[in-house]
Amino acid sequence: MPIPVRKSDPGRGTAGPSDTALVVAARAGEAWAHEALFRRYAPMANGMAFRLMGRDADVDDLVQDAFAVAFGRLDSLDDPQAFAAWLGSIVVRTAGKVIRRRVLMEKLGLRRRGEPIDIDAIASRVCGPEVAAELRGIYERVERLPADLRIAFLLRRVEGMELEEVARATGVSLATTKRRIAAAQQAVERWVDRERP
Amino acid sequence: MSRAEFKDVVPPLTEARIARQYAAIAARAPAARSPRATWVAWAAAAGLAAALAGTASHVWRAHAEGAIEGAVIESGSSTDGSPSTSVALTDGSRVVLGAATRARLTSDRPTAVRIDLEGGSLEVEATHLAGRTFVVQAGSYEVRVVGTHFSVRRDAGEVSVRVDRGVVEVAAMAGGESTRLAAGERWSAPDGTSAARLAPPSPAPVASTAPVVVPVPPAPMPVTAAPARHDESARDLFDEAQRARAEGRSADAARAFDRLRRGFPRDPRAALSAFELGRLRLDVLGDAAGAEEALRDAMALGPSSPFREDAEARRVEALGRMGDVGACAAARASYLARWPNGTYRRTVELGCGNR
Repeated sequence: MPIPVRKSDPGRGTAGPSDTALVVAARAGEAWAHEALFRRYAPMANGMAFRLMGRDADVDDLVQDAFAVAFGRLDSLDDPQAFAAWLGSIVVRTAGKVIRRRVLMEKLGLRRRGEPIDIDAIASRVCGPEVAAELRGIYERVERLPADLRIAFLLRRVEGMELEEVARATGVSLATTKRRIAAAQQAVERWVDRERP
Repeated sequence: MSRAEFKDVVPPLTEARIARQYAAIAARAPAARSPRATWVAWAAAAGLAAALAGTASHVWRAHAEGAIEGAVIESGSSTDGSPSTSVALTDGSRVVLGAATRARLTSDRPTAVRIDLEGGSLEVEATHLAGRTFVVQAGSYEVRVVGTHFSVRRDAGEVSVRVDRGVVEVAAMAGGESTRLAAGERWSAPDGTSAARLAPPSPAPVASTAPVVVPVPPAPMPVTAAPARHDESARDLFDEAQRARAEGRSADAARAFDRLRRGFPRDPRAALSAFELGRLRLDVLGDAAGAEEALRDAMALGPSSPFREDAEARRVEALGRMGDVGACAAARASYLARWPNGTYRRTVELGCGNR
């Protein structure tokens, strides 16, 4: 189920063809329409991927995977105007897969644990130091969470989604979503307590 | 709870990075494969084929889907049952080779496409791109593309050109005035050079004589009361509309969409164009009555289109703005009956004022 887009939908503006127009043309195999959809939503997808992963190095693969999946499944999109929300849910699920893959690789010793998180470096440039510090704290702690909890927590805390939206984006029930966010919150608070001097 | 500032945290996103990401996506998604990506794939395949065959140049035969600059493209004879050879170019243009045809793609760049027809015939579906020249050289003549769809034949000591859509210019390589051909016109002249090896033997070079322009019956066109000009294609109009919208020329965009849906009602883009026209008239041009008419047309042209629900919902809005209470209520009832839990249910319910 797609996530409702609460921000203004660029496809609904008058600066270019509607999302419906682009999706219909893309379904017909028009390469320009694929590229137009990509260019319209690349900033959204890159931003979301970055905020879910916390590392710039992971973003390109995630964004490419998400768009490749979306373009391959355009025929299954019931409402072409809902492309943005639908793409967002694909980014979320792809991020979950990437995180799970990364955890597995760390367990197998194929990837180094504790690679630096660079979200705070970028946050400090675009936000104030207070926000950057807050984000750094969040990401340092969610690194240790299982993928499902981490995604639900970040969608709620960083993306600012409503609980129903998180449920739709992750494809689970509202009850499961609440449980995941609560579990993530408790884990984070426990770590904060332990880290207090 | 979250902070609004969190969402401002985005990775550095340069044009180069976006282009790199899209190239990777296009290479992976067959439906989205760009012509450039197609070339890369075919270049690799052709390189292997050339190596195996021990040939020095890339030669594309039937089924070719892409070509690289400098490649020779050729088709089989009409009697060996080979399907026609179709080659996609970087800019989205397509070249279909007739039987026993040999040509060379001498330039395929963003600013210039050039094909040297050595013998046989080829048909070109050229995309319309500002600033890009598209030339087919056939012996001693050049055919310069101004419009979209034409065919060139070079055999039996003659070069002939037929234009189905758009406009081309034909000029002698030696210079002199060019001849401009519009849709439905045919041109022919003796070739000033010998034809290539795949073409039938040609007589000795003949000095260029004045070309003859022969009007021919135009190709069958869609049934229409079309205000579309005869040299316009649906694709041209759609592209024009999109360009105009992107540049903020809403009235121009509306005119192009209008011409497309009226001139090419059987084209797959017609319903979408009517829908887009309706949106433009309603949202930008302040023409509710015009929007209602276009949206009604969109529903008729594409009764099962993916934007049918959108069109019906927007039509309720248009009728509401027109103050046509009866028609609005009927349109509203129709929408709610068809999509009781539709995306626009709430908006539609309020669309005609009091229920």
